[in-house]
Amino acid sequence: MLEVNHVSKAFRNVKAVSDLSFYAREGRVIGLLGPNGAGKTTTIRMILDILQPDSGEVRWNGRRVDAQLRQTFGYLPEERGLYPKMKITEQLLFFGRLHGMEVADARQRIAALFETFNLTDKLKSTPVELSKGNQQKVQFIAAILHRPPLLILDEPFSGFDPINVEVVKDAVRRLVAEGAAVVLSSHRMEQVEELCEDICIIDRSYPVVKGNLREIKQSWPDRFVRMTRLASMSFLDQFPGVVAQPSTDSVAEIKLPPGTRPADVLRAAVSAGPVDLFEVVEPSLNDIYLHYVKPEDAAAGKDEAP
Amino acid sequence: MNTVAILATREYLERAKSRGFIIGTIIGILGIVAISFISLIGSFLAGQLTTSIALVGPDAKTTKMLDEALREDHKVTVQPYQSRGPGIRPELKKQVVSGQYDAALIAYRDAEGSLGFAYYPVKSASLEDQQTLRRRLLQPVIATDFKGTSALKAEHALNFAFFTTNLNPRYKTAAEAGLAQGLVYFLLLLLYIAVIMYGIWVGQGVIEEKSNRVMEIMIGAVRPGQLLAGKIIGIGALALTQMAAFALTALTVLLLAGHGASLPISTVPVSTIIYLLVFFFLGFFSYATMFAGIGALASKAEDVQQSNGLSVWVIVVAYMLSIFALQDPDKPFLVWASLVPLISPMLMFTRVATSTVPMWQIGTAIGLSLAFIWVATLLAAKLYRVGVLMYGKPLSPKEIVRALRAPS
Repeated sequence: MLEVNHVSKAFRNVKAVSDLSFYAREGRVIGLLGPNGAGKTTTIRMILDILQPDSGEVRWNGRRVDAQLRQTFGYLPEERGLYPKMKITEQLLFFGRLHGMEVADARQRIAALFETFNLTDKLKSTPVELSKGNQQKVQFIAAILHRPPLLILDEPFSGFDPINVEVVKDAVRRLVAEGAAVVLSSHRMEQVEELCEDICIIDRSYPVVKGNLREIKQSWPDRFVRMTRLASMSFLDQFPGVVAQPSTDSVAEIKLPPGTRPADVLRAAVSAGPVDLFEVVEPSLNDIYLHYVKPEDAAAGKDEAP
Repeated sequence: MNTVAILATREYLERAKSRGFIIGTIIGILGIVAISFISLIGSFLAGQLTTSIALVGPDAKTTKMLDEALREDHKVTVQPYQSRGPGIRPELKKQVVSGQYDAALIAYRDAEGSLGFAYYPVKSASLEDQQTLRRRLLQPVIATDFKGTSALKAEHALNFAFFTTNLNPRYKTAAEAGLAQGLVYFLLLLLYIAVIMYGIWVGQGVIEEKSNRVMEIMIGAVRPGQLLAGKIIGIGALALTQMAAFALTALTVLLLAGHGASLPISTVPVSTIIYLLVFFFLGFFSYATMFAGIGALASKAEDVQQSNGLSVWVIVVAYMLSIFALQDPDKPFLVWASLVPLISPMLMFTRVATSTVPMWQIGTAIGLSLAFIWVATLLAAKLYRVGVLMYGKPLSPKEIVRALRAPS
């Protein structure tokens, strides 16, 4: 288990991460979310011991993360690159050895992963000869080659087409099933929602919400209702603070503030017109994110500190 | 295999396989072949020397003519006695060795009355210097020996006798002295090119890894200090390989082309070759760590070229000083300069190869260089930590100072 314990980091006078704690457990994925500049990359670099926290500590299975330990971790950085003119198989072998793999083992594993990722016909290629999607695959392979017990993925889906997004998701699921702990940082809410059991949202260096995604959703005070869009939705006026989200869809989405019971709304709706659909839904991760991260924060987000 | 070795091996193999390296090596080898076929030495040395000469003539008239002919580019001091042969008087020899004159020139008449010369330089005499002398002496020789005589005598006059005996005990023959200086120049040039070229490779390697973002992946697995060490060691080993290829070529060509006889390469002292290697490594590591630090701070190749400018100037200055030292290796100013790190690898090598340098000076130069490399490596590693993951605008000087002060 990865424990991030009350870590803080400031660059000069700018706070990058403030008192952040979370756990990443084996066999689970934790989503690290937040606008640009919130401190995600700094957090990842502290986990990898590239940056030292000003206070707090990072432990893996109770042991403080050091050079030897982090060598076993897998890391897919957001900014990716390969040596343009070095054969991809040789690069992967090189990265594998830097992570302490034996040559024979690394070769076998590369061959197996090339099969998984449909790259078998590219064994002799150099990155300049590959499409962007295939380069991304090679980088993903570099991150998981040495069977890391902890895998850190920074925007792993960027640059992939939908088919390859599925390939990567499957690969992540397989690693998790094999017992890896995964930290996933992404802006793609649907994918985080699909893969992550736990989340941690950071805004302006502070953790604003964290925990099990299901529990967060269930304890969410607001209720969301999806119902047939009626010719007039004016029946909602009797419920203070309730508004249908503007939409041209035949289905209306309505957010109910705490204290407004869905049953009351349903009764009023039925008397207002023909209701074919009425369901109470959990908030989406997107709703949760938007609740905690105010748009002006996102707009004020600047480039992440080193 | 440890991490640094893996990094160094990749650096070495990938570069050795690159087209640039292969072409560079071939061009270098061809260049050496070409140079070897041109007269190896003399033509390299440009510039006039004002050498102070003690002149001893056979008679007043000839002495006056010689004095006038030489005055143009030499400082001539006519000795108040006349020569009876090519020998040098002990007291004059002492004056030359002590540095009062750069050389003594004894003009004498042989048994047949023909004019001959014995030249006694103490500094490693360049062939150019001797050629200038010969040219100057031709006029008076023709004037005194050639007047209305037979063709046979005319031929003799044109091939007037001129012997060189170096009074510096280091050189046994004139050829050896000239060769030594020519070779030292050649080796100095090699050293200069090698230090610049391989040093810049290190800087460029850092920039490349930054600009193609490989650094991001690497930094998850290895420490910045290991990256730095792997790069410098890998490129250093590659540099040695290339230099060895060049040296082998030079040797083979010299031996095959028959230069072997006229340029006895075997007379190059082994110590010179050892010093060459020692000072190459000192120079390479000094400049490579500097270039690596600069590379870590820049994010584009253009930026690094600007910052490299300054370091390249230092090399050029070191090179110029070394050229001076070829002529006069023990000038006090050059003695002090040859102790300074960054300058010492070239200058001290030149001095060691052309003169007898006290051990304490060599030791100090090497010691200071090692200290410099140690400090520069620590600083470069710090800059590396801060700089490798930094893109965008280059750091301001203030930020650089802050980075250097940060605990590692």
